[in-house]
Amino acid sequence: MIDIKNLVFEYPTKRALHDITCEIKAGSITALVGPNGAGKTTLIRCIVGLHAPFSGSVTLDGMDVHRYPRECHRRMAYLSDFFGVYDGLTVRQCLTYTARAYGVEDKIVPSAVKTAAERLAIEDRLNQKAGELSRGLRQRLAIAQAIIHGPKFLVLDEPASGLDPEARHSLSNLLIGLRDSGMTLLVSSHILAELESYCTDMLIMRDGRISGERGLGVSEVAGGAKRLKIELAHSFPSLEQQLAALPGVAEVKLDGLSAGFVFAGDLQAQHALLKRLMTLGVPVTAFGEDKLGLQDVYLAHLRNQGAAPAAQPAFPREG
Amino acid sequence: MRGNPEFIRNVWLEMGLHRLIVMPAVLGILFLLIYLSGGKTLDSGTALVAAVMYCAVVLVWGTRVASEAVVQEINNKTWDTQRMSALGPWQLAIGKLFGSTVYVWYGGLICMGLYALSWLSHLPLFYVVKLVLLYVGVGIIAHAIGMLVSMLAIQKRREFGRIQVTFYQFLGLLVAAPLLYIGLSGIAEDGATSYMLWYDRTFNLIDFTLAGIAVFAIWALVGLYRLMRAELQMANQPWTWLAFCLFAALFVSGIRLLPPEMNPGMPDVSVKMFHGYVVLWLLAYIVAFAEPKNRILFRRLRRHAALGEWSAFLAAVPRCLPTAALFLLATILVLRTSEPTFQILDWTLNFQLVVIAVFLFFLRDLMFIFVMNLRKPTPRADMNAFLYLLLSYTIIPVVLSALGLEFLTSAFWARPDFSAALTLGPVILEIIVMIGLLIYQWRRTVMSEAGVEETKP
Repeated sequence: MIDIKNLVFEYPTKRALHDITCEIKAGSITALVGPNGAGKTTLIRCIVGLHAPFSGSVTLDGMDVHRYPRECHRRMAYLSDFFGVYDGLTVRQCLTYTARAYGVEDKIVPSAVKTAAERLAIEDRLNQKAGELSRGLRQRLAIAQAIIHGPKFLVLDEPASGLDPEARHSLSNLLIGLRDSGMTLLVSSHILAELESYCTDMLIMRDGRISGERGLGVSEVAGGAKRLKIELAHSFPSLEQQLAALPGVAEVKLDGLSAGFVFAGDLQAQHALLKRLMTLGVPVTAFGEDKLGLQDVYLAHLRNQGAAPAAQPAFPREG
Repeated sequence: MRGNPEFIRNVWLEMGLHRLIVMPAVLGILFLLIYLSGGKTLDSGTALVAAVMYCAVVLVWGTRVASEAVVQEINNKTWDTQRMSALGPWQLAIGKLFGSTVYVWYGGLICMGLYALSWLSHLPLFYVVKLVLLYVGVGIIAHAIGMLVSMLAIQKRREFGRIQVTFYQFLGLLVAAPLLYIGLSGIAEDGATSYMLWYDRTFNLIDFTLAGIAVFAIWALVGLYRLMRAELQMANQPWTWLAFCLFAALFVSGIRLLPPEMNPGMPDVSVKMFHGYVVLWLLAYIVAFAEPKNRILFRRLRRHAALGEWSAFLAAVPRCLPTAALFLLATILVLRTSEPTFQILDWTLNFQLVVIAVFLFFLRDLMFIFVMNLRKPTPRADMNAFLYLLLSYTIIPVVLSALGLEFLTSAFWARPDFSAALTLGPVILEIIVMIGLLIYQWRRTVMSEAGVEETKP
């Protein structure tokens, strides 16, 4: 979907992006995470064609974003962390203007306005002035504006900033809904717990570089094996040795009343493994795939990179 | 305009019912008061009132609104949405220029209606139409220049306050006011008209002014379009700017500023060349200060040149460089068509040396502006360079002159009364110093990665 190759961006006083190469897969929701000043917003603005890079390229389905910005803009949308709406216009006027500005045909503008408003649950506010809306409703209006032309690729910079927990939950559901409707999303945020609920991939930025890139919620490891996890009712002596001795099991790690390991085998083999554990008298209370969470991946990445805990962005910016 | 979403959005914002009622009410009451307190007749007095109201509404207020049109989008964080839209540069330029000022024009047309009504019993209809067109044209020029300057400014900075907008508004008015004055001086109250010479042909002054306003308004719109393209990340080649420079130089060259008896030592052709030379000198300075010239730009140029990307190179090249080449061409043409000395009234001046020195001073200043921008890349670099140059052209030589060190002033002014060595020697020395400084800054910031304050690896 989006291919970024050797992207370098410089401000007059500093280089903000260093030779970045990465990919955003079609149909994914990619979290762009990293500490303040890592270059996330600069990267996003290069991706959407608002910043011209010093060198390198960004392509959207093979089309160079910086060579054909207007053509690409018809197929993408961007919502900045500091967005604005026209306070003097009604919600309907805001959406109508945006639809027409994004090239939606005049005859289908009313239905596009209605659909976008319904999707963001602001159809009852259509005749209200944008300046009278709460922060959460303004955010919804801004997202409705961004998606009104049906972009294939949507970029959101800190979309949950300033939203209350309920609005954040709604936002998560909305983003998943957009993904399910065929949209590819790139979301930058400091709030890892929130990204966790809907992101499928993660890009970690640090000092203007991509320092990590991987899928989330995936338990598969190299060679088609899976990472499995069991939880116990109480401790079981020599569990590590007994597990390691079972066929297909490797890399056993105990953590209190749970154990994780890599298992090579299909579903039938997993069933047989569970049966064997029960036979051995292991007090299993839960058995399943050990999916990696965003927070786990990010913290593991930081540990590998030797980063100080203070650099972890896993906290919300607002109270 | 109905198909322009940007214009429609502005109409929605500007033309609320309340505002639609207030404007004619306020203007009507004001006009009625003057009408009733006067002789209850429509005459030059009421026309003057209508013209003043027009100037207040369209020129002063309208130029402010136009200067703020893009700046407000940036301040209100809506500019990125527009840049990301499918709106083309023409749609944005026209939609903003006429959309942001639509309410102002609503008031302005009421004023012009009253103005025309006041004159109709005294002047022929076609004169009245010309006067109205003059006011409307001047309004469009003022708005376009205000917006043009603000769009030039956003290439360098993204934070704006009232002072900056007032400055852009002032520049718009600075261009428009003389045009209005010249045009109005073309028709006397009794209907008598003035004439002027352009390329030795006689023109009615107001007709010529109207044509000039129309042509330069089109150029201003083209300028807006080009700057809007740049904002939308679309590459601009320098040819349009160069075409404008040539046009402006040729246009002004045709205007006879002095009667032939005022410059007996100069053949007519060199007078015309000299006008073009002055225009190019002015434009070269304006563009040298106005456009961005940071190290990123030069690094991009270097990269494009290294990769042989000549189209991208030309699109990125600072416009002051090709303008300087045009200025050099004008300098050579003036030198080839003029006598070494120039007789103006009772003075015999070392004309050709001055023409050369003015070009050399420009080269020095251009390099100084580059050095200042490379040395410390802040939005104030150009302003600092401007202030230093202003000092060097005003206070320093005046002080030297007052101290009796007249010969030293040739380091700061092109002196027509000095010898060749004293006129050209100091400025050539200054150029050599500037070349040294420029090479140093170029190596420090453009050639070397050390010029980049690297984020920690």
